[in-house]
Amino acid sequence: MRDRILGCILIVLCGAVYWATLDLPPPTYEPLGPAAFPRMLAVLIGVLAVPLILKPERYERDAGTDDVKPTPWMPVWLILGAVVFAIVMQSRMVSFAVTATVFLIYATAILTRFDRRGWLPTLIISPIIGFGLEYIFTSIFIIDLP
Amino acid sequence: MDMMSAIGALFSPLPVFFMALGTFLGITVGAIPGLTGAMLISLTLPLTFSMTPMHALVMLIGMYVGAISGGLISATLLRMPGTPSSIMTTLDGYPMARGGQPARALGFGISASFFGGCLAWIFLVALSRPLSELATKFGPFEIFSLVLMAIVLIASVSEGSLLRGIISGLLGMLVAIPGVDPAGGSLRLTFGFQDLTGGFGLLPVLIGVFAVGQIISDVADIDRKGELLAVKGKGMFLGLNDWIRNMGNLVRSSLIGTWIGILPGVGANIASIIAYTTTKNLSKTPERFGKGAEEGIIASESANNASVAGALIPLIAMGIPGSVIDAILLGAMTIHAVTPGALLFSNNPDLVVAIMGSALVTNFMMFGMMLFGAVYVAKLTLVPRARLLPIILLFCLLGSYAVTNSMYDVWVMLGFGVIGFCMERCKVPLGPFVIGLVLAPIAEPGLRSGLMITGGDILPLFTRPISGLFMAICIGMVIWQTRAEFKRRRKP
Repeated sequence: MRDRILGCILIVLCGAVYWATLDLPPPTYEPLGPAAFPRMLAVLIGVLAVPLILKPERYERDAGTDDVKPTPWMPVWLILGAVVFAIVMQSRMVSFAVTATVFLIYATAILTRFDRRGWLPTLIISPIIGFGLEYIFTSIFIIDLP
Repeated sequence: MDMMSAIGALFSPLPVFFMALGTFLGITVGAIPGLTGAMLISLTLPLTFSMTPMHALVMLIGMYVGAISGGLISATLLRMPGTPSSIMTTLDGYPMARGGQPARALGFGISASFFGGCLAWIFLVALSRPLSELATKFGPFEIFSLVLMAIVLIASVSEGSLLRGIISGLLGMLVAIPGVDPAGGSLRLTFGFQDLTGGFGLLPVLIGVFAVGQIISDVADIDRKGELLAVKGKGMFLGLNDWIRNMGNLVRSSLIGTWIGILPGVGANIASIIAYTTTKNLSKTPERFGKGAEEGIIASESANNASVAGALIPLIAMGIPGSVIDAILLGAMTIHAVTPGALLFSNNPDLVVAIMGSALVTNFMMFGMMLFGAVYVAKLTLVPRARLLPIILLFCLLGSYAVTNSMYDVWVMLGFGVIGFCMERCKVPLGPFVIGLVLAPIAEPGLRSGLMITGGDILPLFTRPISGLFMAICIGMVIWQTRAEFKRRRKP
């Protein structure tokens, strides 16, 4: 199933790329022009995606080992946290140091499954990293952080 | 700048400091399972903007050498390879350590890494210049066919099938297309987005697929832990007898590693596997392999470290990366306005000396740091990943923002992080993707210039001697690999 979805996504992507190349100007002083290379790549990827749909490979279930169970929800929450972090950074409403501190506390809490034993070090380390990075980037690397 | 002053510059305090720092960070990151050299180097790249090209390159090379070597620590003591290139070391390193000789197992790995790095360095010095002169004879068709060969080679040795490898390489090339057409100046594939006018930045894409993709992967099995074996007793320093007894294996495996490194795109993982398999096949006691054979550790470690210097050869001689990490190094060179190839030797001889010199000096540093510090670095592998990964993700966000002070790059990085994770889950290898991404900007102009010269005739791509050879290797690899996969599938 995974291969079929991948193949379909690739074909849609290639269709979009091919469609976008139709608007490009025709070649003037050279045989190929700006559209030919991306079009060629799109067609090749599209053709190679067909076997993925027709002959998909069988995947083993990510069942984990005896003592390790996969945690599929954790990456989702982590990436959601990163997206919120990026939105807050883009809005420039809160300083980087504060946003980074909150993000670190949130991400560590998620990954430690809100384990109370780790709260104290997290609450100490996160602001040190957040404010420390802001200082290093703005004062040493001279990069304007939001 | 003459040779002596270039060497003198390399040994001044700052470059030595950056080499030591890079090697130390490389060893540490290499030793921690789940963190890779590619991740470290792509994350460090934005921080090198304020450095001189020399300082940046020597530090990144130190990281490269350190990361490939550091993987053996966790492979030996934890049965979890710190880097993919140490997978074969796990097979014999861990059983030897478990059998009561952890220090000796580490000693074999460290010494073999050092030997492999030193032997390959001789080839780096001897071959780079002649190869760069040969590359000046390359026309546009030769460049295009060389890029194709690099993608096919890495696709055929990557995890998964050839089909997925080639799709990955082509996708990498496609990602490099949006933006301004290099020949005509018109906008392509921007889909009306103003931000896409400049295309996707190389660094955000690299940080995304290597660092964020890896973080998502690691988080998915955050509970995976290993049991660290304590290093007791002496034996880290090999005796003369050990060196003499294993000299044949050391030389052979290092030569294999160097050669695999020189092949465009292939890299340390494959070098280690081929050297291990060759040594096992040639051994009089192959049954000992997998149960703590010192030959196994030596073959794997000497080959993967030799491939580092080997892979630098096509990078500095032709601008063709010998491995995935070299593709990132090529990105670093581009960012620092350094053009590899024959021009590098004539315009920036000091940088050539710095690159070659640092490959050797960091190898010595790695040897010293690992011999005296491997036991302490090993303890770092037990740092809970739940505390480490959020900090690394924060660095990813910050690093991609710092490239151009633009939030657009942060979104690109996050997007490609998810794409990289999905590609890995669908067994689409990331190596060809990065090689395609980095080399597309020379492949397309190569093809277009070639066709312009021949008036649209594609035949010279196959009839010119060098490009014909590259194309023959491409086609041969595709046929051979397809046959092998077909046979494998037919087996019950």
